Order: sequence, then structure tokens, then C-alpha cells
Amino acid sequence: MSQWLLSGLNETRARALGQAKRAQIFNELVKAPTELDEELIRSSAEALELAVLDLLLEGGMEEEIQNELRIAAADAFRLLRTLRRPPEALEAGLYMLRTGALAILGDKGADAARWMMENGWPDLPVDSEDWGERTWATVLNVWLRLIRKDGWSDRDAVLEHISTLRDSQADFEREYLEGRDPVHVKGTALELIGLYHLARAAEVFAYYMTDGMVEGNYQIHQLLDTHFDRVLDVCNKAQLINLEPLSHLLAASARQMADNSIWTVTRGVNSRVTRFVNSLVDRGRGSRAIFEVLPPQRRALAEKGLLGSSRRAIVVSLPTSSGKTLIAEFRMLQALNQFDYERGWVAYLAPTRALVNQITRQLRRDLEPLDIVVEQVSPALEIDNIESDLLRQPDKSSAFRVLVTTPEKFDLMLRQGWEAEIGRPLTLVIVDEAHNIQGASRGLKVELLLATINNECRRAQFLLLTPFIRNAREVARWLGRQNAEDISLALDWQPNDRVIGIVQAEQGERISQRSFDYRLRMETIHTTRQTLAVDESVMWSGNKTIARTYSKVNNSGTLAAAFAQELQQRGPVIVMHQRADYVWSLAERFKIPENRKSPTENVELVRQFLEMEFGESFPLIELMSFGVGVHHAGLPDDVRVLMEWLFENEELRFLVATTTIAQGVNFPITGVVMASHQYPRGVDMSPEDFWNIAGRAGRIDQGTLGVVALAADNGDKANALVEFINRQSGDLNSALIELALQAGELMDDLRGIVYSRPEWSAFVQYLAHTYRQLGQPDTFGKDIEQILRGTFGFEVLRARHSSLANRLLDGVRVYTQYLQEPGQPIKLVDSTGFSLQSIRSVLGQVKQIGPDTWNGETLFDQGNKDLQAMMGTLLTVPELRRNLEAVTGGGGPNGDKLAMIVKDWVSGESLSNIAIRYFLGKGDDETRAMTKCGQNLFGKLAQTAAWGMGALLSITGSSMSEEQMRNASNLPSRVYYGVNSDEAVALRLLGVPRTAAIKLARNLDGLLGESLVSVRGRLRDMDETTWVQAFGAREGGVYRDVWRVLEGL
Amino acid sequence: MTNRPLTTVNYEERDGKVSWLGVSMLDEGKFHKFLSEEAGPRVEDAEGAEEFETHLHGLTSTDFGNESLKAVLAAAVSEERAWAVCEAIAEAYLSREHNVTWPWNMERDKRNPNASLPGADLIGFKVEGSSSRLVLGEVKSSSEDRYPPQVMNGRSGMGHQLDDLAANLGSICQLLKWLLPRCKNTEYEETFNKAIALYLESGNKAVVLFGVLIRDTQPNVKDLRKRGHSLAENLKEPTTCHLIAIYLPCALCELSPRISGGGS
Repeated sequence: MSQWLLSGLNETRARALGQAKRAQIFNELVKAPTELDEELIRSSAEALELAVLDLLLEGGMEEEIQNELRIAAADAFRLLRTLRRPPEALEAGLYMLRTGALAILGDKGADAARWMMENGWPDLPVDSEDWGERTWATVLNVWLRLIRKDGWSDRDAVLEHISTLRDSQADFEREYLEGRDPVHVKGTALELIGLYHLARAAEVFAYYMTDGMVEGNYQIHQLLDTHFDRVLDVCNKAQLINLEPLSHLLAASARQMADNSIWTVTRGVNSRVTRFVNSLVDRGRGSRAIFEVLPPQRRALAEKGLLGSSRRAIVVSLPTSSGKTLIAEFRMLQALNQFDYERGWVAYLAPTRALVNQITRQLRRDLEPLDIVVEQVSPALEIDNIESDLLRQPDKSSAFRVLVTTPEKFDLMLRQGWEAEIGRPLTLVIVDEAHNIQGASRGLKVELLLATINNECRRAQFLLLTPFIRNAREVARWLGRQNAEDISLALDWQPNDRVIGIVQAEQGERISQRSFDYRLRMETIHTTRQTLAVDESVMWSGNKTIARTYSKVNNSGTLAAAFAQELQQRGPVIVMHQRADYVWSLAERFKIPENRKSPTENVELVRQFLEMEFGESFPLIELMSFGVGVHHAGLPDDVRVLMEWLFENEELRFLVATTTIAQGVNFPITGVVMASHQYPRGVDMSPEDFWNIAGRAGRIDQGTLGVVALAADNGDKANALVEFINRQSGDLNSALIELALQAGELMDDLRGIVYSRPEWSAFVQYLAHTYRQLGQPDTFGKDIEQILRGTFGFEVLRARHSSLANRLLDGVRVYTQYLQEPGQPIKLVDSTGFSLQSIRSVLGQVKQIGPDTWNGETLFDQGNKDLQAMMGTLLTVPELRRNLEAVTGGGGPNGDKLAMIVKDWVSGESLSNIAIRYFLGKGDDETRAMTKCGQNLFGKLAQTAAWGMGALLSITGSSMSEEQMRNASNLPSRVYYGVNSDEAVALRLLGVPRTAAIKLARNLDGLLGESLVSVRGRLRDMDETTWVQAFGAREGGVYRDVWRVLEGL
Repeated sequence: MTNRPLTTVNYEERDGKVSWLGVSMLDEGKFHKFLSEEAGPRVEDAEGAEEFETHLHGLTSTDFGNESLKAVLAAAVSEERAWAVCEAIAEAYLSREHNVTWPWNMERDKRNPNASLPGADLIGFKVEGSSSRLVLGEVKSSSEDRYPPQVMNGRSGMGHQLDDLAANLGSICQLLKWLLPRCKNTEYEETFNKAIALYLESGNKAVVLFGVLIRDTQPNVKDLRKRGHSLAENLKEPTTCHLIAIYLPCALCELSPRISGGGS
């Protein structure tokens, strides 16, 4: 039946859904109730429910039928929830339960739970004197709770209600039956029998939810079916008009909930996984407990058998917010278990420092209860002594099993032979945001890293996490050949409803001679991602304190601010702009009286921290008292983490950030307002990055509708934005293809290419590394084609651009001859991360750098000239030049200035002093100088200079003793972290803020003799006294609390 | 529909979409045959307690008690038979004269027990050529010497119930959801599908309502006329309604024994 019913229904269904969307958008955004054709919605919903029942009775397991069922059920849910609740409590409860059950069948369980949390349900007469009413009320109540799953409290209440019902049966049931019309009494009795089975089924499910078994039985489906079969048997005998259709729905949705249960999904994998599930379910018996997985997770873990899979390469390509991290955690546990005897380890690669921090915190929180040590190594490319101890840790209980870092660092680690040094096999590599392999600047390095791992790490398996890409299978096959799997879920599941719109100012009435009033107008945009859209505009009056007139509001920054001000009434909003200086001025616009709030304890903590670090005039301190946070590359990592923390906890109303935040947001947000859709250099965001942030809009746990708004100050911009939104992310391509297309004849000379195209360095290093790895054979030139096949890009290049591929091959053959010249320092390529030609050029310049130069006591002294010489050399290295030159402000290479900044940075000079000394340009205020300083120092100089110094150490250190080398190897890390002792480096590695690390290092004994795990334990257990001793009363408390926040405690 | 005439028309009137008709059974012989061959098989034997044994037994797995339920389900219901016979007569008559089919032989004592929730005495389909319509009906019987008898009026009267059915879309949809598993994968599936299609296409209005009044009195148009006019005011196209009074050649109280005794 459903086929024709659904097709016959198409037109009314679309109209009804259109109305429901419209109601949702207007109700949620502007609190304006809309006229609804309730009859249309109701009858469409009823017809859809009928179709769902029909499909359920059909019982077909074919994917097409299942999909049809899912979509019809989800639509029925969307329609039903817009209707007014019936006034009578039992009827209302029944309506909500039907709606909730349909949501579960439509994979909208999280939406239903949220809907129930937000709206509650009427007081059901669970204490009624009328036994029939009481039984119905209890059954409705417990099943509603099972759908809502508000932590352990709902589960506990289910058990309690059923037990109470059972206890009172003897007191009420007989009297109730005797009071019935004799004609109806049998039907009544049968109905009660059915209801008792529903109650018992709910009880069974509640136990299973938390324990994974019921009275020793793990077969949840059988247990549930037993009771539902009996309910339906009873219904079959009687005309139970309400009970029967409800029971059909409940039977199916209970089955679905059992399928979604975290226990079902992970059953029978291994004991480690079971312990992990226990810890997720337990979570302090609070509301953060996880009882079930999201549909994409179910698809990956259960339906696609990720956990049972022995596939070597798996690509999980799911929409943002699908819970990829949890999927990765399960895969990790499986890999760790598989190689437990060998004590194998997992590498988790995340693209940015911020994500490395976030992921480490999350993995540590989740996996530490299982005694799995999670460590991060810093993105500083060199391995210093402290990290080297961490990696070599012989003590089993302290040795890491999961290592989080950036691809660049991991690349150098592997090429420097760290897998052998660690002495345990790498068993799994997880690449987060793996779509970055097509990125122009870093993509090729990631691709070649994976190719290297694939060639050289025998046990390594791969898990690539990406937003949806079309060719996930192709990518998986590249790494795993036949032994590959892709798990892709395109666009048919979204974690929550979302609306994307263009906001413009609309000129209103004249308010003075030259100025006009205005309103804000949002046009919702139809996209391919099932976002909601309506034909009419949504209007706001606009905040007139932020901008009084049309001409004042009509620029993208102010427009974004005015709109964000409206939007924040629904929850915290991220406002993005293109550049850090724009971000500061946009943030200032929120300083209006109505935003001033007395700061919460946490906000106050961060303000005090900022005052200590940047001085009391730092503008962010005042902004925070207006509920505004700021986030851009000009702020230290610590501050950015604190901003994210406050914002995530809803202690800030606005987070004003540069567009680059789109790559790093790993938490849900209610609204996103974009003053710009471009990166600082004026390049459009990629569709992946746009959808990454857009996909975070709308929280799975609250705020049903996520909003993404793009500000347009004129019609052309609005059109451009619509086009921007509708750009598709398609196949994932290798960066090699784009690089080859751009390079053209430059590929003839791969020696020279790095000088004009430094991004080619990764490619020629790959050649050098492979050559070395194969034992530098004479036949390398002949094998080269085979070697290039190991990359993702080359095959595609050959298929699509054969002449370019041939040109590249010819270039590679010529380069091979260069590699094969006698006496080439090939090994240094792997230890420095420089191309061979860069190393040779450096070698010619460093004659004066000897073992004595690498002296931590003197190198950073003001009078010492060695650092200047080093910086001068590094400025000639193509791999570093761009970043270093940018720091000096583009006035030509200036090694002296770089050296001075580095010295101040290492010696603990405050940021504001460094900013004023080196970054205060003409017309700049202190904030601008601080921002530039931060962008250059954290974003460029610290990392690049540390890398360069590490490389110089490798190049010049061959004649140094082991002791000298050990002492020197921490010097690049001092540059990276901006501290002046090895002890402080250790504390920085543990997340202690820079200023605090320097002082605290002086007050803690024996830091260097201990493992990092044990120092971390010491810091955690350390009471405030030690902090106060190091910093004084006020600062001690603040640093301690801030560190604990940064550590995720 | 059979060719043998069974009844003679006493009166027939119409007001818009509502018609009302009074018919008398032609003679005792034909009525006897009708009762034993057509209506009789629609009345099932009253069931004993054993039929409910499985349900009661299954209940032990829920940890709920079953004592009171057992007592109730074991008891015979005295009033049940007379009603059942009247409904069987109505069903058999509508099958024969109006081409209505009944996918589900509903025992009255196990009807929807919750009075505030929707229900109908008769649920079936009227087959019209290649299309079919949903049939909902109410059956009343009365020996009362009043025209119309009281069963036609008041909250539980036929008029109100028919109005309710016609006016309450929710209750009809609920009935359809209940009816679906009874037609799915049976000979009635196609009929059901067609009726639902028509019903949904018509904006939930293509329903045929039947109100059947079983009488052992003299035929009198007043039994139906007033109710007919008032329903005509409330019903909307394309809902149609037929009120039918069947005047029996025997007393209502004789029906049950006659059916049990094979009509003699």
C-alpha cells in the first residue's frame, strides 16, 4: 500500500512539511506564531503514520524499504511536533509517545529527546484512583522517559514507576474491573494484560540501557519481542483501537532503540571495549551518560561492522557532528586489543595545535579510566629530551598507548626512526579531518606521510575521518588495496535542524534629514544539505544601540554584530570576521549597556589570568564583562582554549573569531554569524570548512534549530554568498595534481623548484627518504614509477593528465641522479625536514656553528651573536623563509631582529613588552601591536625558528658528544615554548601557561628526573600552597585553576 | 448481493446526502433462511475461559498478578448474545443489499473498552465497481413503542455516534491504523487500499455511514426521519449516510434462541 499512498501523498506532504518548516523557523527565530493549517498537517501526519505501519507490517529488510520507512517516519515526526498538544493529559501523553516513537523510527531520536526535554509532557495521572487510567498513565510515562533518556534519572524513574504500579495492582485492579460495564469488561481485561506487557518491556529496556543485560540475559531483542508479541496477540483478540497501533509502533521503535544501544553496537568485541562502554554509560550516573549511539555511529560500528572488521584501511566519511571521535575511540580500543601482547600504539593526527589539545583532553578523559595512557607530543618539530623520555618510557603503566600530534611532527618522527626507538609497533593511524590532504600548502605532506607509513610500518592500519566526500572508497583503496572499506553517509542524516540565510539591512522610514531607520532581513537559502528554508523573509527590528541608522548598519561587520545581538537571545553565537584586527573592532560593537553582566566565577578567573599575562588594559578583559570573547591567531593557545571553554559552557554570549576558527571548532554552537566568508588573505573558505562550522550549528542536546547567517551589505554580495553556500564538496583529490598543474615546466628541475615553490619540498623529501629507506640502490631510477604509485595523486595524475605525469617522471629521474651523487647528506633530509638542496645550501653557511655554540647558558644572551647568524642562515632556507620574513614585517630578511625577538621570548619577557618593542607600527595602538605580535610569534616565529634550530643542530651536531647533544636538544623547545629552562619546557608540555611555567619551574624539584605522567600526577594532586609559594596568593590560585581548566580537570 | 428479495420497502426518503429507508422482512420462511444461512454464521459461539488461558499464562512473565483478570475473563456475559445477533443481522443485510464486505468479525464483548476513545460497531468496505469506500456503522435495536425510540437520541444514541464518526477525523484515522493489520496480506488488502486512497484523496470525507435500527414494532417513518434531516445538515460531501430500519417478523428477545437453535 505504502508505495501509492506515499506517492499519492507527495503534494500534500510537501505542503504540510512546508508549513511545519515555516512554523519552526518563525517560532524559533522571531517568536512569531504562524498561522498553521492544522488539518492539513494532521491528516498528512496520520497518512504518513499509516504508511509507516504498513511498511512495518510488510517487514521487508531491503534498504530501499527501510529508507522509505525512515523518511516517512521522520516526516511524520516533523509534522506531529508542530501540532498543538491535546488538552487532556492521557491523550497528550499518547500523542507525544506516538510522535516520539515515529522519531526513533526516523532516526530522529535525539530530536525527539530534545523536544521532550524542552516541552516536557503533561502531568500524567500515575496516581489515579481509576486503575485503567493509572495503568495507561504509567505506561505512557515510562516509554516517554525511555525515549527522552535524560541521564540516569529517567532510567531510575522508569523502574520506580513500574514497581509502584505492580505494588498497587492488588489494591485497585479488582475494584476497577468490577466497576466496568459487563459488556466491556473482557475488552478491558485484555487491554490491561497488554498494558502490563508494555510495562514489563519498558522495564526490560531500562535495565538493558545501563547494564547491557537483563537478569543475565544479553538477548535484548528476544526479550522485547516476547512481550510485544504477547501485546499484539491480545490486541488481535480485541478491538483495542488505541493500544494496538501504539504497540506496533512501540515494538518497532523499541527494536530500533535496542539497535541504537551502545551495548548492542559493541557487543562481543572485547573486554576493553566493554569496559569503555561501562565507563560511558556510567559517567557518574549523571546526565552526560551515553546510552546510545547516533545513527551514523550505529551505521559505522554495527551495520558496517567497523569493530569486527579486519580491514587495514577504513575511511569514515560522515557529516560534521556525527560523533566521529567516538567511532575512532572504539576503533582504537580494537587495535590496541589486537596488538596487546606487543603493546602496540595508536597515532592520532589532528591538523592544528588547538585540535591536538582538544582531542588529547577528550581521549584522556575517555580512555584514562581504562588505564590507557594518552599523550600528546608538541607540534614543535624536534623531539626534545623530555619528549624523547616520554616516547621511550619503559614503565608499562606510564608508557603511552595513544599519541596525539600533528601530521608534520609525526612525519619527522617516523623518518627519524622513532617507531624503532619506541620499540613497540604502530598499529593504527587515525587521520582527523583527512580531507586536508588536498590542501595546497600541507596536503601533500600528509599524503606522503601516509604513503610512507603504508610502506614501512608493518602493523599499521588506517582510519581516516573526513566530512562527506564522494570518493571515500577510492581513498580507502589507495591505502588498503583490497583490504579496504569505506563508511560513508552522505546527506540523509543531520544531527539537528538547521537554517542557513543571508542577512541584509532593509532601509526603513526617514528618521532625520539624512538618515533612515532600518530592519534586518534574512533570506533562508535552499541547500543540498536538507537545511530548512522558506519563501518569505524573516525580519528583525535590529538593535538600535549597535547601529542607529541604515547607513551605520550597512557594512558587513556592523550588520553581523546587529544580527548576532538578535540571535544571542536564543543562545551563544560565534561571529566570524576575516582578519584579527576586524575581529577586535567587531567585538567592540557588543559593548552596549544591555550586554553588561556581572561576570561568573569562571569568567572572572579568566579575566584575572589575562590581567596577569597582558596587563589590566588588555581590551579582552573589558569585553568579557559584556559577555564577549575573542579568538584569533594573535592570542596564545591558552587564551583561545579558555575562550572556547567559557563559550562552550555558555558563560560568554559572543565569541568573535577569525574565519580560521572554522577548522578548529569541535563543539556545538547555537548560532553562527559570518561577517566574512573568506580567510585573512582574501581566499574563500573551502566548502569543507564552511560545512564544518555550519555543521556545528545547533546543539544535539538543546536548541532545536541551528542558525548560520552570512551578512551581505549589498545585493551583489548576497548573490555571491548564495553561490558560495551552494558550492559542492566533491571528490577528495591529491594536492599533487594541483601542484603539478601549477608547476608545469618547473617540474623539469626538481632541485630548483623548492626555491620558487616550497610546497614541493615534501615531494622531493619523499623521494630522498624512500631512496634512503631502500638502501640507496643504483636501480632507484628504474623503480621510481613503482614508488610513485604508492601515493594517492600519481595514479590520478597519470590517468587525467598523462603528459604532466610524464614530465614529472622525467623530472624525478633527473632528481634521482642528483640524489645518487656521491657524498649526499641524504640522512639529514629525514632528520631536518628540509630538502636535500636546502641542506646543502645550509651546510655552506654554518661553518662557524660548532659544539660550543649550542650552549643554553649563553645562546640567548643579549650580547651573543650566534643566534643572529643562525637566523640569518634560516632565512635562506626555502622551507622556512616565508614564515620568517613575514615576522620581520616584509622589510627584507632581518636575522638580527628575529634573533632579538627570540631572545626576549625565551628569556620570559612579557608579550606586551615584545609587542611594543617589535610590532608597534605607525598609528598602531597597543592592542594592534599585541595582535600582530601574537600572530607572528605563536603562529610563525616560535614554530619555524624552533624547527630551523633543530635542523641546524642536526646538520652541525655530528661532532658533538652524546652529553652535549642531549643538553642542546632542548634548546629548540625553549624557543618553541618561550621559556628559559628545561624544567619549564616540561611544564609547558604539560600545558602550564608560559609565565607560570617559568616561575613554577623554579619551585618544583626533580622535574627532569620524573616521567611526564608522574609530573602530571604531581601537578594534579598539588594543593594550592605550592602554587601560592611560587606566585603569591592571588596569582597562585589563578594559575592553578587555569591550569586545571586547560588540562580538562 | 443475492437475487432473492428478502424485504419489502415500507418507506424511503432522502435529504441531500442522507437517505432513510424502512424495510420489513417479507415472510417468516425467508427470514428463517436468512437468519440461519446469512446472519447465523456471523455469530460465533461464546467462548469459555480456556481461550484466555494463554494470555493469562503469559502474564506471569511480567510479574503482574492475574487473579482478578482470570475471574473476569472466565465469566459469561449474558447480555452479549442479543446484541451480537442484531449486529449480525445488520451486517448480513448490508452485505446482501449494499454490497458491503466485512474484513473482521468483531466480537462485541472485546470492543474498545475505553468509552472516550473512538470505535464503531461496524467497520467494512462498500465495493462499487472498481472502487471501494470505507463503511462505518452503528447498530441499535429497540422494542420500545415510541417513534423514534430512545436509542436514537442522546449522547449514546445513534445520531450522536454517527455525527461523531463523521466529524472526528482523528478517530477515523485511528480506526484505519487498527484496521490495517487486519487487511494486510488478506483478500481485503486491495479493497482496503482503494478505500483508503479515496478517503485520503477526498480530504478524509469519502466514507459511507450506515445507521441500522432493528425493530420488532410496526414500521414508522418517524423512527428515522428526524435523525435523517439533522444528519443531512451536518454531513459534508462526499460523505454519504444511509439510515435503515429493519422491522422483524419476530420479537427481539426471540432472536438469540432462534440463532442458537438453528433458526427454529
